Amino acid sequence: MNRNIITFSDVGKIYEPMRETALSHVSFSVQEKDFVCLIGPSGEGKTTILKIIAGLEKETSGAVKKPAGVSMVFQSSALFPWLSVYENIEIVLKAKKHPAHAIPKIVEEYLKMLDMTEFANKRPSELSGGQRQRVGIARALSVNPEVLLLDEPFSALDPKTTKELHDDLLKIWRQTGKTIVMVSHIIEEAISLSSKVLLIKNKTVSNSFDISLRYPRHEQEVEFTREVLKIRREFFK
Amino acid sequence: MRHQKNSSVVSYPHTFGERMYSLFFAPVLLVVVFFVVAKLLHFSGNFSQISFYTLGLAGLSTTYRLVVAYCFAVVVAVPLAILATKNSFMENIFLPIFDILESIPILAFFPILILLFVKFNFINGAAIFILFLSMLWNIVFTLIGGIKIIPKDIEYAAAVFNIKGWKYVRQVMLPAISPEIVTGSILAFAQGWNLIIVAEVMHVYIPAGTQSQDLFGLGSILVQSATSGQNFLFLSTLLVMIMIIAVFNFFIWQKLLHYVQKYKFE
Repeated sequence: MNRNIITFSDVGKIYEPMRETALSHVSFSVQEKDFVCLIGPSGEGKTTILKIIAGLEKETSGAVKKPAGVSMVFQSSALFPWLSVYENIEIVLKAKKHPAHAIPKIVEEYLKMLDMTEFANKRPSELSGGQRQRVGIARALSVNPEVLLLDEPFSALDPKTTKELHDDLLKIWRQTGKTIVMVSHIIEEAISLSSKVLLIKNKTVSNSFDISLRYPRHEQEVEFTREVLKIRREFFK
Repeated sequence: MRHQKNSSVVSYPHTFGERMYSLFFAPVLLVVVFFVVAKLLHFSGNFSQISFYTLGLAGLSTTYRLVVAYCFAVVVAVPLAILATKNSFMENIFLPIFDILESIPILAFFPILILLFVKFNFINGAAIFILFLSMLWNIVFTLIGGIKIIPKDIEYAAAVFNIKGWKYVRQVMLPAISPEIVTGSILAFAQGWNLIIVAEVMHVYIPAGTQSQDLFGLGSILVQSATSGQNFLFLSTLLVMIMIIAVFNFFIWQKLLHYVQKYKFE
């Protein structure tokens, strides 16, 4: 049994100065090497949970246990437009104080893993949306995090690119054994990828679903559809 | 407030026609202006008193004042803009102060400033200081606008990957606001040129001042030639001024505008 790497205990978050409640009594845990998807309607606090795990926001109440090594992939990829693909990865390795001599090897390793080696000298503006997300994933993995967070990383991509990136992400998950927490608003995507789905509704975790289907998962399979219907029922309740 | 107005005031030459204009037409125009000025000076009968060489030196003096004032303005404006946007508390304090300071007419300070600088026998300092003040707020407000439009995801990415503090300013914020630094600089220089006549004609502000106390430069020559009815000299000085502005535009600002395109967020 894997240990809990992230634990939220009765966590609340209120944004000042409007005193807007973003999270209320959120409790859940994520086990090491899990692939957890947070799904739910917009504005219910999925991204706030991710930000708290990433250390970008502080909880107002409750307790959060999380590891120090957390990395994140953003919806917009958030690459620095003035840097090349190579430099976008190099800059975070330098910031995380990796030894200078080791950096080129690490950058090449992750560019190769994401199949982006030939684009090393391109700038983000010269890449497609899918390629930019690959660089974003490579950048996030390069700092060797214990937990990889993904905030709706595929929401702006076409279905073909999304499918390719899903396959790559699952491959990376199996290869590296990282714990992954991803925000999505698509139930099918969550079931295709994750081992556990948390439904975030009314600013809290309303349901938790363990997905035990075998990989690769296909939407046409009866079991897959059954899981979709189960979650959808709660989603729209 | 001004800080969201100035984002797209200027553009770099991107079409074939615009590039051809920059490459060929601009230098040709400069040569034509050069000869027109030389001819005008010759016809004006002042050729022996104010030569093209002298006008050139006046142009250099004026440009020197503008460049020094601009450098000071950038050095002061960048930290001010960073400070004012550090968090909402700082924003609430600094932005209203900046708004008020910007609204105060610079020329109101000028007589006092001049007296102060005259006391230290540094009249050039007064001109540079007034130019600095006229440039400062253009750059500050353009930079504040630039900092505020840095995408949130970029700020989050920097924080997640431990790019913080001075490292964030140097590696993320300054590159991110480079387009605004250039835009603000263009506006600041334009403001500086607007004020150059006032800044160089010192005798108006010094009690019992004479024209000999004016600073040597295009601004003072413009005023002196206008008041003494030397129309050709006035026109020649104006053309030299236009020539310098054109040189700055074609060989510095356009190049910088083109260069900073890669710093822009999509």
